[in-house]
Amino acid sequence: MKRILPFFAVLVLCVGCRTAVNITGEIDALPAIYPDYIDVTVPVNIAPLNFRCDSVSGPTALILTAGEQSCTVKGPEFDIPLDSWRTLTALGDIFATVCVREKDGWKSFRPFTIHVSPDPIDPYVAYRLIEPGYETWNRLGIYQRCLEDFTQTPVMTNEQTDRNCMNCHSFCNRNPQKMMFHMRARNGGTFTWDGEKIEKLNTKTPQTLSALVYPRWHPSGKYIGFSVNDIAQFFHSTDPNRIEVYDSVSDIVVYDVENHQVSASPLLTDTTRLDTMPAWSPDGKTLYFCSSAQPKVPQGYKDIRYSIRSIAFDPDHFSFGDRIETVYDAQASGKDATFPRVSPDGRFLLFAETAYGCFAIWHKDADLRMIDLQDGSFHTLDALNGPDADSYHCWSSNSRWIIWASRRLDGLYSRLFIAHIDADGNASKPFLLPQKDTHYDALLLKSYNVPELITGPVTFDPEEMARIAKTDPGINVSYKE
Amino acid sequence: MEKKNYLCLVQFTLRYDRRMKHKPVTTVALLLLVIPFLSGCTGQTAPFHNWDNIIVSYVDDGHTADYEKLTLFNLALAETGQLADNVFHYTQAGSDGIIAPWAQTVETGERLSDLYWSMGHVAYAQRMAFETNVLDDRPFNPEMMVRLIETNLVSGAYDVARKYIAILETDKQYRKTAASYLKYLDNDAAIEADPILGPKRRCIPENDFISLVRGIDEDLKDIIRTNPSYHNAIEYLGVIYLLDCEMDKFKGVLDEFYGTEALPTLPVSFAEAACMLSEMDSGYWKRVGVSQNTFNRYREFKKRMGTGLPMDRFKDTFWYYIMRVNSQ
Repeated sequence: MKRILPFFAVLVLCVGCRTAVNITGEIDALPAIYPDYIDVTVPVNIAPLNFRCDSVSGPTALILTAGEQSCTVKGPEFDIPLDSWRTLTALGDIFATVCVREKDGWKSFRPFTIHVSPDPIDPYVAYRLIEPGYETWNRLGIYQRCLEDFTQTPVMTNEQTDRNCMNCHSFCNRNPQKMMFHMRARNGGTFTWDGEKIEKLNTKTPQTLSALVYPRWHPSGKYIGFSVNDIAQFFHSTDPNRIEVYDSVSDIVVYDVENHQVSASPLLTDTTRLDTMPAWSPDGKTLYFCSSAQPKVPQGYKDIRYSIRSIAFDPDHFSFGDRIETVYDAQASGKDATFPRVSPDGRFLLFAETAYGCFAIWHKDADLRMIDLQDGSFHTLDALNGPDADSYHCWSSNSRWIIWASRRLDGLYSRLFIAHIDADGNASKPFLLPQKDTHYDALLLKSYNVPELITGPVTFDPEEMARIAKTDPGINVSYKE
Repeated sequence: MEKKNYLCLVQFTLRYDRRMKHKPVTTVALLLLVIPFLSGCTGQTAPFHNWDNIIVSYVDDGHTADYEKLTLFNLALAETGQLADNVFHYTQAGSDGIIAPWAQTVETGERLSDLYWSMGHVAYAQRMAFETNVLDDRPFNPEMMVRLIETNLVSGAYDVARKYIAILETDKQYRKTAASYLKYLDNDAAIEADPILGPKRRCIPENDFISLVRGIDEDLKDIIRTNPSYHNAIEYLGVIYLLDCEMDKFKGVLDEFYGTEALPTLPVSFAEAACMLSEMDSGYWKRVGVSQNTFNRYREFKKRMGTGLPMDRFKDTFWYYIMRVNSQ
């Protein structure tokens, strides 16, 4: 504080507005702010970290300082001008001082730092907005948010497709021009888009358990790994986890995009095991997946414990290795690992760990963990995990950021958090995805579901997508023995 | 409008009348004009259902295909403490008339949330409130938002209850209702002392089970064992068995719960069923406290059966219901 703002009166010149705050004293405490942006680390290109200070009465102001530049914003809801924010983030770490005007003049709380990393984050994130619910749905859609400002636009909503369900959007290497997602119920099918052409696929084959479900694009863009599952859910009477989602059966298959075929290894269709949630190494030569022995369900739902396993994959010949490796052993850990995601630099495998089960987002104990694939060491990532479910995570293109869905704010509605991961796998304190209006999340009755970072906006025409969904009979996917 | 606010308004207008030398009729006219406006502004905490009105206005046309209507009516009987006494005073249609099939509509969702709440099945009341709120095309369904607040308070999920209160506060008409729940946040003692929320909290079983997978009857038994003083649960359980003519299961209820806090005495329909159980176990009716009058009436009913004599005087009994079911 003393280095930044001398105790005696300081007249702060503003970048973004003309408010002058003449500080005459200090309050020896950090301000209580929402969201908690104190000492967080943010990417240089992030939108302004608007926050509010509910705990003080009277006029408030926020002084942001970086280098020789300052900006003062009136509170208690601090809506930071984008151009001023850009000026400040370009200069490095930002020092934030919340001030409150008392009878005898302006008092400043202890300042805090917003660490600005020069590592940028991909400029967009795509997610589904849907109630964290139970069985029914009504209005839902896949949306994209520019992380550099507050613009959210729909990618596709079910208003255009008879209010059907849509899910599992997935991008190849964060490329917004190469994506897929499913529609369920009316106009059902799997939809792929390569920047030019939309294809509707009918993906159930006689040889597979179900239509294609949880996807992951092969980095080459030629394949997509999928699970095929019979998914069920039930409702707890007492358990604060509320809902249990589980598979009664599941396998892993790989879809050949060009030839409209799926294929699998016998090692991935073992009827005594539940295999699901495929993920690829960045070189495309290893297929990771989650695998559990198959207990009797629903009674034995707590005995479902997924290990993370891998099998070699030959993209040139669309063939699999003959050996399964175990990366995370659920039996040894006594826990369960789901949603494996390898960083684009190939160094780390990030996953959600919980006591048991398939859908970590419904488990309050779910935390993000990481394995260093170079030396096998385990990172608990304590800095970024919260008291409630942390799950469904995505790496940035440069492997320095992760974004994920966390229920830490209210215990039910997933909100997006972002954290920096340095080259050694150390996590910084995470921050809530900033919103223009800090009350937005609290009043939103939907969860952010499946956040996927992308390098730009998705640009397909939703009307065209809807037309194809409604009128195109679709391509029947076949099974390659 | 709260009573004290209303009285203040009356006092003010009477004083105003005196000062302005108006006749009292002015006061009445002014009140009539102002009250509806103020009620809307302040968010009158009104009950969502007037159970007595539902019962009084119910038309028993002898047809029972409308399960939703019947579910609401039986719910009104339960909420006024009449279910197990009077359920057979009206045409019934098996347990679907207690629990209407879930049609994935706002209307059935509301009914079912109300029903499970009445049963003390907090988790399923919450589930149906959530589903219904999703299905509603309005930004939210205020009644179900209240249920979400209540069920989350009861289960101790205060953070999400706080969120729902904030959302309900955005509706002018419900602002006051929403604010009335603020005092329960992070306040277990207030919830346990509340005449509505407290008993519901005491219904939450200590050991988790998968809701409805074993059937609602098994869930109700767990609720009864958890909170034997919550009598709605045992009334629903017994009535469901009787409506489905599950006499062995009904006897199991009496065997486990009669004479306990859950079922110190038998309500009318249970006593009537106990008479029938005495066919297999003479004297059973006495052991479960059925009155001599009830048993005599049962004997009279039996005598008339098959004789062609009018049975109308027994139309309000379980015996008549089961006779009708058996004849269909």
